[in-house]
Amino acid sequence: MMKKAAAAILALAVTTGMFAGCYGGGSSTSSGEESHASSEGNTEGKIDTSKEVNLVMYLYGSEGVANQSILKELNSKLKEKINATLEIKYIDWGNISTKYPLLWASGEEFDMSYVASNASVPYATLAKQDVLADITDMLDKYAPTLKTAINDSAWNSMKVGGRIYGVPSTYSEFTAYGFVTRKDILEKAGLEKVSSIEDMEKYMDAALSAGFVPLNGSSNLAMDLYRMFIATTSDWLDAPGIPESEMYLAFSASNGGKIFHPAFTDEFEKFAAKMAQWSEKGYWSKDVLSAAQDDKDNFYNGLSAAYITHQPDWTGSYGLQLQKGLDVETEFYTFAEANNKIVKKMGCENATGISVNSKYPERCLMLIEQLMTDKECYDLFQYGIEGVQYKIVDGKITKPDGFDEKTQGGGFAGWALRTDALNIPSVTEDPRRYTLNEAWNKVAIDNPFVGFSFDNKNVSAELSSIANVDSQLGIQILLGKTSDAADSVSKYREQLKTAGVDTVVDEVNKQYEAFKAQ
Amino acid sequence: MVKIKSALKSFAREICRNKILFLMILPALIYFIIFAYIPMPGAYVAFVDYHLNKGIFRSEFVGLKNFEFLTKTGELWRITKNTFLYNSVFILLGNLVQVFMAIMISEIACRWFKKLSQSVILLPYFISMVIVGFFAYNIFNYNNGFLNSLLVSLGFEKHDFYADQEIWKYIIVFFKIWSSTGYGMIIYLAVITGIDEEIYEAAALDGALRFQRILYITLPMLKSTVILLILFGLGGILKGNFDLFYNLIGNNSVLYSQTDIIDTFVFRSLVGSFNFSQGAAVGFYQSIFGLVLILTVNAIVKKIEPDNALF
Repeated sequence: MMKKAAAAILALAVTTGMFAGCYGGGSSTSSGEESHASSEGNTEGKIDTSKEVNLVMYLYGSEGVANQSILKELNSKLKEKINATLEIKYIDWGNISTKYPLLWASGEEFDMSYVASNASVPYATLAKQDVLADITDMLDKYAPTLKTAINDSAWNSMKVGGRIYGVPSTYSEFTAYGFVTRKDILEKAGLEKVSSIEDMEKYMDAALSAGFVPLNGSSNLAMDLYRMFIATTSDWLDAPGIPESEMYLAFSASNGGKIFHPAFTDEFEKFAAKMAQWSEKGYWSKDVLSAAQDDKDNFYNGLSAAYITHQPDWTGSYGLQLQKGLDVETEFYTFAEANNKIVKKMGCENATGISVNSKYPERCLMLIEQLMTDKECYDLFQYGIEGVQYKIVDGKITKPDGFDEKTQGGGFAGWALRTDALNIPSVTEDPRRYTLNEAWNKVAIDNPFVGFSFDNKNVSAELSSIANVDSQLGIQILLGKTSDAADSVSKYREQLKTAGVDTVVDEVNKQYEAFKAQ
Repeated sequence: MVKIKSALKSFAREICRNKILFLMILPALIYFIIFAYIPMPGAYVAFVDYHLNKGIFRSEFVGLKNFEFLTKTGELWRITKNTFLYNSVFILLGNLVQVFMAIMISEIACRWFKKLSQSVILLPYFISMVIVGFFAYNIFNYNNGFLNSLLVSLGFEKHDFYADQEIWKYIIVFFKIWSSTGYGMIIYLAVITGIDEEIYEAAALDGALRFQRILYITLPMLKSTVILLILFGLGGILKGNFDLFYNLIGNNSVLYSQTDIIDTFVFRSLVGSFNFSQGAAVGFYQSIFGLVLILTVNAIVKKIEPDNALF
């Protein structure tokens, strides 16, 4: 009898994990509404900062060894100026997709957090579900400098239902996608630079004969090719509705200003045929769908002749290239440049929000103002302590001599608080970032969707089904993995229809019309 | 009233008598209360339109809307079937191999060899599936995979394993058995070592050969444990081995028709959007399915072998 019992207990212990797994959903009821009270009632002219407060901010990343000492330095400044101290909590890179939603769902008491329109819980969702403090009426009183330092279009991009729930970054970035090439193969191909899809083909043919796999990537390559397709086709722009990680919708002003799904166009058929041809030619490896290394890693290790990414990633990888010792110059072909479609970044793509659970929203706002407009605080927060984490040589940030990563390394993922006014270029960035940014600043067009946020409440089932279609047939078409391109396009269209793509497109257009009519 | 009182009384006496045994089971009880019973009402999240600030119980009730995405493209049947079949094979073949291995090891007389082989079989259990995915890629990839290099050097054509739908079900089952055998085997070994030596000695005296002793003593003694473990396994039959499938197949959609299980399907559908409710809806479906299945099978076991039924 005892033996049987012992065996049963052992067995129980083994299977416990299996059963426990089912209830992972978590049951947390937030109690946000009670702490809704902000200090709006305080109408006296002078701001009362007599009470010292400690404010908690959530950022991505993990704590570097020197973070505490940087923070100590920063806090002595902040305490002097606004009688507040900052405490940073971290969401580790690997856990963002799970911890970030839980941060908001758990009703945890914290003060500020990184928010973004493409975070795992988008900014607009947070604002609509009342977990962010409405700061519209607080700006004039508590952060007048900040209010003027950030231009109106950036503030407008933060508006949800006409109200502002976060402070946008004003750091100019153009996340325009492009094709990164090597100088030596460009010469082999007899090209000055790549400036069209045809040039890309010439370049990749030359790369093939030089023994390279031209785009030696993983399945991520599929979405890069899709971005290339949208960016190089007439006046199409990225549109909201379907998440960016899938085959998203497009917008065309010449097409009556409507949002549509690109898969239902003739251009898509041609593109699918082209991708099948590229795959056939061996522009990417045969088992690209299962490959683990992406094209960028392979490029800097000399295993891929090109890769597709956006401009800040390319220019920001200059340091990586130096580190890897890839001794060849790189060039960049911007897909959207030829059709004049470089789009200005919206502020809400990187911003800082204040939690409704914060007891001191007004003090948070003052702190954000300090971090974004005060030179001393800005430098400490973005770069660390001068002479320890960085020094400035020829107007560029570089590591001081004798810098030891093990004892002095650190810093914060504070991109959401960067501003053009106070930014200092870094030696690990390709200087072409700034020349390109300057050139694009002149020609860049406004995003037609500034201030528009799509509410997917009514179409969530459709979106999940579409995601699934995209991950199967969609990805296969993009990487030319189907036996008959034309046939699979018509199949893909059929599947999209069954998944309810029309409902989604109608809903987006309806909401967008309503938004424009406002 | 009197009945309840006397029942309570006898229960209290039972506790008093077996204090130590109840104390030993206490941690497991607490574990299940905290991690299984208290969160159970949270399953309600599968039926609401989850609102961050309102929480689970004050969000709007939407009925079965969160389940819609599973049926929308008509894939529910395919993924349910795949999950069910894969797990059936894992449970049945897995237990078979475990019993077989446990008997083999228990029959080894040489002590150090016994320990060594047991450790070697157990080791794969501790290897992360991410690493296993890399193993597989290095064995099967087209350009310079181990198998393809071997094929070429033997004068055969290269084979594109990552486009071949047929073979992956075997590869997956192989890796699953490879990684789980050692761990499951321990339970059977424990039961075998618990079998009274005298029975074997008596059988030997009567002239039973080693094979006969296994067939007529060890196997029947293991029967109740096998049934118990299979019943436990059935409860989770729709819970896929996400890490195994995701790391071996990943985004390779060419292979999905044979390798897609509920968990990978849900991961792909929801990874781009934030939706607790749809995720919970799937968990709810899997649990209900498991519950119904385990009740049915238990009822059948009860009919045939009343002693071995779970409850």
